[in-house]
Formats: sequence, C-alpha cells, structure tokens
Amino acid sequence: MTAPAGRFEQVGDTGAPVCHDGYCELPPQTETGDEVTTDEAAPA
Amino acid sequence: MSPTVKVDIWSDIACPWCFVGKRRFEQGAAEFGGEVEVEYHSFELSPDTPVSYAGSEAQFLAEHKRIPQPQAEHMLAQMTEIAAGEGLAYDFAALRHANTVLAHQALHLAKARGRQVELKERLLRAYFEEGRDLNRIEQIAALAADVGLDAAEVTAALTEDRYLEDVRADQRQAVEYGIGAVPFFVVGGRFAVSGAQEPAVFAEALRRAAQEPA
Repeated sequence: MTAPAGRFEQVGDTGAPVCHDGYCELPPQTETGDEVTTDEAAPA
Repeated sequence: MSPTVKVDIWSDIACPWCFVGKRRFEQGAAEFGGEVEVEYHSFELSPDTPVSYAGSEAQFLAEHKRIPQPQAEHMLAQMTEIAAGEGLAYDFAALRHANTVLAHQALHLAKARGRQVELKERLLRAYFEEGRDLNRIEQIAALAADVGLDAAEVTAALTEDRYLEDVRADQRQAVEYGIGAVPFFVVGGRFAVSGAQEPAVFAEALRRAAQEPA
C-alpha cells in the first residue's frame, strides 16, 4: 500500500505489511522462519 | 535538545498488523531516544462487522470475506507466529470478532482524559490475547477502568455515542490523506510510514522529523 501521493514524504518500504478492507497482507514464512514480503492476501 | 516529535497513527483494534506495528514503532522510538507524542486516530477495517457475531475468526472470514476456512485458519496461524516474534500472544481461537466503532469512541474519550495510549494498548491486548468481547459496552468500560478511566463515564459516553462524530472526523481525514490501509504513521506532520515496518524505519523517520521540523 502506498503513501498518500504528494502530501507526505514516504520513509521505509512501501511494501510493508498492512491491513485494508478487512484483509491483511501476510508475508509467508521461509523454511528458516524469515518473513518474505509478497502480495499474498490474508484475513484481518 | 531535540523538539518533541508528534506522531499521528491511524489504526484499528481488529488489525493484527496494527499491534505488531505498534511494538515495532515503540522499539524504533526507543532507538530514536527523543521525546515522542503519540495520538491515535480511528480507522475501521470492517465497519460492516455485525455486533452479535458469535462464530470464530476463521468462520467469520469464511462467511463474510469468502476465504475458505482452512486457508483462513492457516493464515491466522501464520499471523500468530509473526506476532509471537514481537512478544505478542495472539489467540485467534479465543478472539471475539468485533465491530470496533465503540472501542474507537472510547479511545477518543481516553484522549480527552489523557489516557489514550494506555487504553489503546489495553484494548489491543484484550482483543488479540484475552478474547474479550469489544462489542459490549460493559467490557470496554471495564478495560477503560483498568487504565484509570471512569467506567460510568465510559458507559454513558458509549451508550449515547458522544464520540461518534470524532470517529467519523478521523475517518474523513484518512480519506483526505489517501490512507487506505493501516497501520499508518504520520511523523512530525511531514513524513509517512505505511505498515508494520521494521523499528529502524520508525527511528529514521523520527530522527528526520526532529532534524527537519515541518
């Protein structure tokens, strides 16, 4: 989810996990347990 | 000495990433080390949630969000594992799915009484870790009393929807800012951090806000 265009200066990764419309973006776990950011949708 | 940095946070109680993001923000604020003032703003992820829903979270997602229940259960288990990494004990089996508009109203009352940050933490813990029913005014009032608020005042305010317009004002401002997902942090009125970022990102935003005030 992107920041509001033009109003604020974005800091950090624009792909960080968020919840919206009753769903959460959920990074799947690798075999080592590390988070991997994807667009996979998960429930809120 | 650095000036106090104001941070406006849009989030919901029924938002797993909001609690995780809160913990990561707190770690970032500690790393930053300066003075930080936090104000929470209302954002309802699922305003259509019925107040009387009695099923499990996975059942709700299957029935209302059209996610196959086994898939929903798998995702909730994954979220539980991620939250545990932040020291949070999510218990989706005990969770009582809630329409959060009452909780948001209570947070506005708490802001007026100087206890908003404390109540936000208490409500998130009650929802995700303790299976408390935030559809019920008496439950919210009891939780508010835990952080020093007057339960009778909270009960009366929620019964009369005294703070509903404040909730709606926050939601209108979110629309105006283009905020469509939470958690969302506005740091120093100038920098935006979207989502449950790593603590270092919050620390960087806070440092920049302190060095480059709006």
